[in-house]
Amino acid sequence: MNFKDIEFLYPYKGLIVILLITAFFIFVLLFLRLPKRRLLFSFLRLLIFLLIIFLLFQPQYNIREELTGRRVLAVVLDNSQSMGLNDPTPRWQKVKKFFSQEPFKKLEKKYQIRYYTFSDKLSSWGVEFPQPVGKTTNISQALREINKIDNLGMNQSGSYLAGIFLISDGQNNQGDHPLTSAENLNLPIYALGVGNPQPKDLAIEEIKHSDFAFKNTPVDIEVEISGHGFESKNIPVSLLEKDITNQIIHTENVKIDSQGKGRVKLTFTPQGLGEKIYLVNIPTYKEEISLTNNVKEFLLNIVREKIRVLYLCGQINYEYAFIRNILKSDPTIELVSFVILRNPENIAFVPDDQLSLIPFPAHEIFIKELYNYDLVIIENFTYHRFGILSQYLDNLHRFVNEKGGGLIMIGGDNAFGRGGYKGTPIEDLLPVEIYNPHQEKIIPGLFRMQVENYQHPIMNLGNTLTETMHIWQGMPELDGFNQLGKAKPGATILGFHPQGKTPILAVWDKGKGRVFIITSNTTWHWPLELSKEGKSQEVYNHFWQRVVRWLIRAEEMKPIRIVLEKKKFLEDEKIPVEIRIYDKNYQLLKKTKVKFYLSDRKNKTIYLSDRLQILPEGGYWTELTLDELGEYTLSVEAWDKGVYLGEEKIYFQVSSVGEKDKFMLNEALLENLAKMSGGEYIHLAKFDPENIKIPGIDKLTRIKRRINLWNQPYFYFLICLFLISEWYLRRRSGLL
Amino acid sequence: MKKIVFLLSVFCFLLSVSCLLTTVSFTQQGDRFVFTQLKYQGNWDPYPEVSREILNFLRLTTSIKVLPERRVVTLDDELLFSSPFLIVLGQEFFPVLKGKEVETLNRYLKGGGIIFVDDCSGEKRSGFDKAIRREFNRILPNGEWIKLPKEEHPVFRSFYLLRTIGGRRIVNNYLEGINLPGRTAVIYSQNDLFATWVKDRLGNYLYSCSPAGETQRLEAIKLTANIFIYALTGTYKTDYIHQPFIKEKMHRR
Repeated sequence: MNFKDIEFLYPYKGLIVILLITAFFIFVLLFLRLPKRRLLFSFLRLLIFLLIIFLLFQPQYNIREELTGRRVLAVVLDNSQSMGLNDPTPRWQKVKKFFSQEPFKKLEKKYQIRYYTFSDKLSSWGVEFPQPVGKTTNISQALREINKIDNLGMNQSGSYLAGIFLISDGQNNQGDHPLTSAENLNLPIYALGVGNPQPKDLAIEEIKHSDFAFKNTPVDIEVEISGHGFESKNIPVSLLEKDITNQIIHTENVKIDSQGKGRVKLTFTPQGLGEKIYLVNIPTYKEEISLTNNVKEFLLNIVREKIRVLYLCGQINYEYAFIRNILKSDPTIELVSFVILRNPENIAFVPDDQLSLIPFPAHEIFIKELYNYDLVIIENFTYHRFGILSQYLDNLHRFVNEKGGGLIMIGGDNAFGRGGYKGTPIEDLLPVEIYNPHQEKIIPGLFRMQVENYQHPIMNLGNTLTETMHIWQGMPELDGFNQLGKAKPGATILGFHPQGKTPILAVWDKGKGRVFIITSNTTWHWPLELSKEGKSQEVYNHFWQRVVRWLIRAEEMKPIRIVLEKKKFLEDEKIPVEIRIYDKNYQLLKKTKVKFYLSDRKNKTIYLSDRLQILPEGGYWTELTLDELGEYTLSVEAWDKGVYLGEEKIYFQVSSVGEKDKFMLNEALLENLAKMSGGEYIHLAKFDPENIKIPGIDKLTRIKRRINLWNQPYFYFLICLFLISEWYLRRRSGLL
Repeated sequence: MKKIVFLLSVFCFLLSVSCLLTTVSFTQQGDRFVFTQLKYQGNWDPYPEVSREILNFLRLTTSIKVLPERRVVTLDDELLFSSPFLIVLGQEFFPVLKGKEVETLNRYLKGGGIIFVDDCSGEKRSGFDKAIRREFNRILPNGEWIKLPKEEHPVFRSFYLLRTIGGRRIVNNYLEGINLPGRTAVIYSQNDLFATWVKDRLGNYLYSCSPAGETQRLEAIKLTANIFIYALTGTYKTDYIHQPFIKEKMHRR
């Protein structure tokens, strides 16, 4: 019996040592102090105690046996698609030939060989020779799985896994870095490289870019080029926007260095809004191994940097000051405002150079700059008094109707019909009818606006409908308003005067844009009066913030949203899709009619509505997997109780993991793997079995059986025997 | 100097004519500016007629539409919250405000109101000054009195480009204020600004200005107008678009 073969299942082995030391000291103390006769009893008790402790720590005994046999070598063959490339002769053909030739046959004689293939995961090799069909290469996963199969250092037949024979082109494109798995392996890896380490090829290796960019703001992208065989050459790199014209946006030359690498920064200024696909391409040459990697796409979401608001105010008044404060304190808004501080009839008290007034740049605003804004606010502003020509108003009409801009008109003495807008293009933009200047009246007096549509996104200031109603019913009074005509067809009245139902707030969609009017310029009463009552004036700020966001069709105001966790997926990757549909009250709808479909660039459409699962909290969910590369559009159309809610689209890309566009044999990776694990890197063509330094046959010991000592009856019998002996001796000594 | 006196005389004449013409008084406020002055326990109204002069000046020289009548409010007056700009004048120490009154002024300022305080005593560390600082320490406990920088603060360029401080007597060569997010909610002058507007029945200025005389009065008039316009336009003149124009004009002068 070898004491080394005793193991304890109880994990805290330190305790055993402490208890044994304690027992020893107790015994020594007793030996010194007690009379000799009583010492024997104490010794017996100590033995019993030690036995119980020993058993409590669950000892087990390992019975080992010695074996002699051939060591196992795991042949791990990369069967990803890149192994099937022509380089210039097919790589896979070389691999097949390798397995049938003498050097490998020698290995088969020396070792017991187990055959595995891997791409995204490890699998055993069947009777048929495998094919290079794997869509990814995950070396680290393969190494981890090998380790799992033989985690005791010995497989079921008792043979010892002595090393790994990795055959690959080293183009790892999935999972962790292979070196991290190799570190934990404790097995030598003999890496056999397949392919040409430096084939002649120009390729776009990587495009570094952010997911989004700001409209009208220059953006940089960085392109990495590899060009083996093209060293010292200048290569033009072009950036194009992928649309009907595929127009070149920018071209820059890059010089390929002596390492066959090149890097270039392309700067461009995106125009328009939304998701756009861009292409980077480099020229193709006949002698290249592949031409497909000379072009690469990327997706960029062009967003507004800030909501640009132009505010024209015709008269110094509190309404401007209060709205300005809201817009200025919102970091997402960039405000440019002009207030008419002095009318032509006002007296100049001091020379002009003592005044801070600036000329009103009507031409610059309405001709040059207008389309750079997202929203125009016109408050109490008579256009014709300040050099605004009718052609400028045409431009403002185009800004809303054709360019999708937002317009707010706020009431006052010089607004609507009184501002001379009757008969101008602006009249067409307004959702309510206006009168001639002398017909349109300002109706004085305090009034509490009656809300017509609490659920409209602008009016929906509370978390629930009840809260929203409560907020509006408690909203302070306004003071005076422009008496306008009736609402035009298609307009929505949000609030009206309690007497006569004259519109106070009205909105509509006009062409591509949106328009909001308020016929009173005294909403500043709301925050002050709310504050008087000790209420928060936040609802006032929210009201104007919602007006702005609704007018520019901000993302958070859309009734339908498609949520993708990213915009770029790999082929065969799972794509979770969530659809959220909100009602007018911005509550998630649970039961709606939904049309959900996927389209590719060739306009092939797949209807997916029946795949949607309803989420308990509202909204829908599904998961897609796409194996065809390219750009896709997910579209959702929704109806609530027969009312069409709208349509939402989202673009995403499915791209290759790089199996078909990376050709170079990655010798550096394979060399590092071999070096780190104590193995060796050899090119497939130069393989010699003598390179494998693992002995073929070895004497091995393994645990044959494990016997639990703690549940053996002999020990309990021994404890009983000691107890009885101790009792008997006491009795004989007259100590009982 | 003669030129300034002449200009001021012409201006007084125009103001008088305009006063005569303004016979119709608007009772409805609407979007019109109302000169609102606080009535408190103490000498709250040293210049009862000054509002008419100031309002006429604003009406003639700017696009502000005004109600000609002054509105006098107490701290429990419902109409206080209908005027986002409140004027507080005084010359003497005044008793401590009640807790509810302090709360009212706190709500007024937090709700968007702006208060202009003018110490009409013409003295440093006057009784009124002590009382005002005491009360605003209660109204805005976290507020801090700061000197408004003449080169940057919009109150010095909201309409007129100002480099100096006006008033009947220059006690401080600066304005003080307490800032709230996005605006200076309290503006405090200790130079008896409003006295420079006061006239006798014949239309002559009642109080002389020291030490700089009529030039100082002119600056006071412009500063008063700027304070009112600041209350109505906020930080408008700090916008980027105005900067090159203002810089050029300041440089020219």
